Amino acid sequence: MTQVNAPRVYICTGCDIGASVDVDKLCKIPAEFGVPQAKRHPFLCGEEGLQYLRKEVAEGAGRILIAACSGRVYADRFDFGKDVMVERTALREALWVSTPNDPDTQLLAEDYLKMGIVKLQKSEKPEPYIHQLDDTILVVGGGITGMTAALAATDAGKRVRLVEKEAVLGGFVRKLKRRFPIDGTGNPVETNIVAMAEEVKNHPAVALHLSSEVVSISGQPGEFDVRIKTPEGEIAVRAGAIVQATGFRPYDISKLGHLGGGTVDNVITSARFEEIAASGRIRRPSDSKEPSSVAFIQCAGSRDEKHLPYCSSFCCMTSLKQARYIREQNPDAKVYIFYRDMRTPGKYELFYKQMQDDDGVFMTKGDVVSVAGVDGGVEIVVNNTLLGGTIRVKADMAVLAVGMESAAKNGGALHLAYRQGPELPELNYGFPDSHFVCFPYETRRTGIYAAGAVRHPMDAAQSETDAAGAALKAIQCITLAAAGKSAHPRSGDTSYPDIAFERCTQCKRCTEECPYGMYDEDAKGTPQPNPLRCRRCGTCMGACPQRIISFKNYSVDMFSAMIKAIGVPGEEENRPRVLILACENDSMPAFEMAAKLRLKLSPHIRVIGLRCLGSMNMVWLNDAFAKGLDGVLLFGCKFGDEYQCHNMKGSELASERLSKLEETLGRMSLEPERVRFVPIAIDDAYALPGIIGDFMKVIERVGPNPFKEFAD
Amino acid sequence: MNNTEYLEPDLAFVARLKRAGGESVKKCFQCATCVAVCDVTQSDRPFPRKEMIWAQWGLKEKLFYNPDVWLCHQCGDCSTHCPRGAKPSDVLAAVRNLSFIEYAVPGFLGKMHSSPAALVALFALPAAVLLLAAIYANGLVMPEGEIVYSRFFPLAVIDSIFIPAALFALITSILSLKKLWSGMKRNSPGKGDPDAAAVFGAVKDILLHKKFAQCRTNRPRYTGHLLIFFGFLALFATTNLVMMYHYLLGRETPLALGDPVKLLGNAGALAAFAGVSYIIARRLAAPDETGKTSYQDWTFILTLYAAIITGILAESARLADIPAAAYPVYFTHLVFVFFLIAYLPFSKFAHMLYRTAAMIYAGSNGKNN
Repeated sequence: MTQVNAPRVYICTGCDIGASVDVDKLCKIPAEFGVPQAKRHPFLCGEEGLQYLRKEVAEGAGRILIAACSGRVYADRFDFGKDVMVERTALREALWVSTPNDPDTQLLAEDYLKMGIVKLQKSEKPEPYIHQLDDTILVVGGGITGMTAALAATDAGKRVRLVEKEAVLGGFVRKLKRRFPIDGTGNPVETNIVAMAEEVKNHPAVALHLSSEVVSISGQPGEFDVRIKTPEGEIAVRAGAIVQATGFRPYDISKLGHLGGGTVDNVITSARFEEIAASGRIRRPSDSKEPSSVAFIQCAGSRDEKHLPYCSSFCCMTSLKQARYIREQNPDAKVYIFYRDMRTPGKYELFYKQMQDDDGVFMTKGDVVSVAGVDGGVEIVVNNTLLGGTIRVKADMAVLAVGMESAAKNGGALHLAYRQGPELPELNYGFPDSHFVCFPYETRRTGIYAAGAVRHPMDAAQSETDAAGAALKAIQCITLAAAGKSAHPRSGDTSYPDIAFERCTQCKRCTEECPYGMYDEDAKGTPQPNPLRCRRCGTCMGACPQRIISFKNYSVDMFSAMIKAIGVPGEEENRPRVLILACENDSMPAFEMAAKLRLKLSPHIRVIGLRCLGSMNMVWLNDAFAKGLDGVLLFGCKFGDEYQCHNMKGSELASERLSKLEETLGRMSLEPERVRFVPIAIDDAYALPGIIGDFMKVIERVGPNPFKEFAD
Repeated sequence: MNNTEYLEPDLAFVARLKRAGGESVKKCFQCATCVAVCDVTQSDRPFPRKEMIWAQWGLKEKLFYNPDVWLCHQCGDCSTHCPRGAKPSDVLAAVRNLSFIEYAVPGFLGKMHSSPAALVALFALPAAVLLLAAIYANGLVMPEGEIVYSRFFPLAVIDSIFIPAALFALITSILSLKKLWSGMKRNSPGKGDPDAAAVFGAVKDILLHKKFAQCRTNRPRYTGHLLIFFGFLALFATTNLVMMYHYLLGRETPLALGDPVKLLGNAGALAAFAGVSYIIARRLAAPDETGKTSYQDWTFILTLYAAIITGILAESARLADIPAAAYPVYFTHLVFVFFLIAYLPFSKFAHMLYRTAAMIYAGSNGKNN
């Protein structure tokens, strides 16, 4: 270790730190690791403190450990340029949850300092993975979403390649007679889709492929290799990022037999009705008669566990709009709307009100039990109506307001040449979202962003907003990739996994478990990393039984060393030690919130933040117990259908790994209760004292780790 | 409803209802806030929410032959609390306005009473009859000397006009009521026959104005209606007592001012005058609280007002001994009175029939009104 690379430790005594522990004693800790004695300062984040640190840097400090506040605050102040490695130890927060000037608190502060020093010692400066990259954005799908995304990207100065399978641009919206009003001004409005299509077609920065389909996509952000089948033949092109805007399919009407779907001529979907309306006079299918009464059945197959369990959000407005068409065509016509709930939020409500006011529109809540063909028309039976009980109504035809199925459901649009499969992984109900609440547009394929109804049921107006958002995400991804940086959620991280291939056993754990499909495989099963697909969550590192995957600044060895740095008092001292491995996305902020609230936590815990619980390698548990620690808590995000994990699968994978732990513990004659996974959300601060307190009682019950005596 | 019957909304009726004062009907989105604030509503009859959707669908049969519509005193609480501006109390008032036409036997008289164009004809009839009677009785010459109205219109002449008019009103009332009653039986299952307890309950309720007293938004109308109601009752009693005086005791009008019957009549006239004045003032000053005032409302209330005022003026002119004013005013008074009595089942006056019938019906069928 050269002098320049030797860590230097600075302890801030502000924010109660100096008043809570014996700082002089702390200053001597680094010596145990061959590091110069720590220096203290009363106010490191202040201008004077920062100037002091800058001076230290100028005098050769290249690796700095700042033992002060959490790394989540003042990251900008403690940034001394790309050549200086800075590690932060959250002494302040650790002390805020502890009793000041208590012997246990002193030990806790010492352990955190030790872990920080070891972590810095084991860190290398990451070297960004930088390639010569293409910055074209490939847009798959030329409907309103795809076109909006394309125009948004060109507005931002990017080149776009747009692939549309139909011979014309415009998608679903092109088939509309009119769009429903989004601003509450009243009448359904012109789609203007043809003008938009012309703009896209004539745009100098857009390469357009009509009647074309993507055949395959390989590579990674910044260097996607795309093969496209065009009428002129197959072409190979490059793209930097991809927006998937392939839209939706109306739910298959033939699955709604009880509503006459597929069996009664005069029962059609709202999509079909729209096509009829757009083509001229509205006539019913069976005999081309202009209907004098039309019944709309809302939620046809929607919000129904047997069909589509969700609301597609556009059907209520669509039926109101189509009711208008009928009333305009024939002022004496009757329009029935049978709904479960009218969902017209925001300004849409104004259009609902307007249609309510129409004398010829008859609405009622109710459960439509059947739609059947009768006397050339249809008969609708509705239970539980607001009119009282069951009603039977006759109409010339019925329109089933069916919901949206993602066009990505069952695949077929991207043909990714990825080890994990050809399409975007689905989230709920076949929509390829990464996380429907937190991270719009994100998918589990880095550099590929889903926009519009393909990712979430939405109407045209929402799709336009969505498209602009996805285009910006795509640009962001290209920009980050060009600098070798990670995209969301560890945006800006330049580290990426290194693999010691010579020890790889081709077990495929990494290639299977990566939430982002970063690894491809060769024929033998050896992982082929695509570093620019990587989001730096470390799941592969946690998965690898050979422990051959590591990041320059995040490795199995690093955490093993940190765990081993924890001081373990002898059994007679009655000072149990519990290791908490906590996800940095939700659990660590929860800890910091507990600290800000000055909640008191057991002084016997030692918390280590992980990029994701998915990066937890099982060897750390061995290390912990071999060292004599008494228990391990794993704090990760909730998993399952309503998962909260930022990396989708991390906490789930970690808990799966735990299920194989009992064997290991059994081998060591340790009780399985010593390890517990707890789902923690970012707002769980108040729950932490209880959760930790409960676990400490368990540890008290099962007694000290017998390995304490053998530990060094 | 019957399982084989198709529900058929009536667009034309919706339009008619809107014209009759229910133009806000389609604004209702069935949230049932009105039900929560309404005293008429019952757990199995979400009133007036259900009436609102029936009205939106133009289901006139359900609306016309439904006692709840008549149990409503138009207190206005539903309209006050409606988040959508659907004004259920106005819609129900419009339904009642159309009901007068619906129940009317003969029907054309009902229609005439809702049509401003027919107003002249409706007044022309009593005016002509009374004019002919005056020509027959006195050759249109005002009697000399002390003003005695029975010398202008001998009681026999009056009775020969007004007793048939009252009989006409009675018969048409019975026929109209029958229509309502059988309709209610058709539409709301129940035994349908009135029982004594229900009759007693209804009468008690009417006399005490119990439901009126529960009104919040339009609470002042309780006072106004009470004054008119008892004022009118006093005047009705006076008329009958005067007839008794004439036929049984041989005592003739004008009665002395101190006569108990005279006192009763004058008190009634003043109470009714005060009540109608108050109600008219409220309708003009606070339309948001009183609800919309329809043509039928105005026709009825102004005719009533005119009858009361001309009555008071006639008596004043008599006492002041101004024959030139007294006899023409008296004549006019009779025209208005004729209008009120003869047309009772066709004007808004009929509300007293239908409301009472509905209260009895509801009471007889286990519905606590």
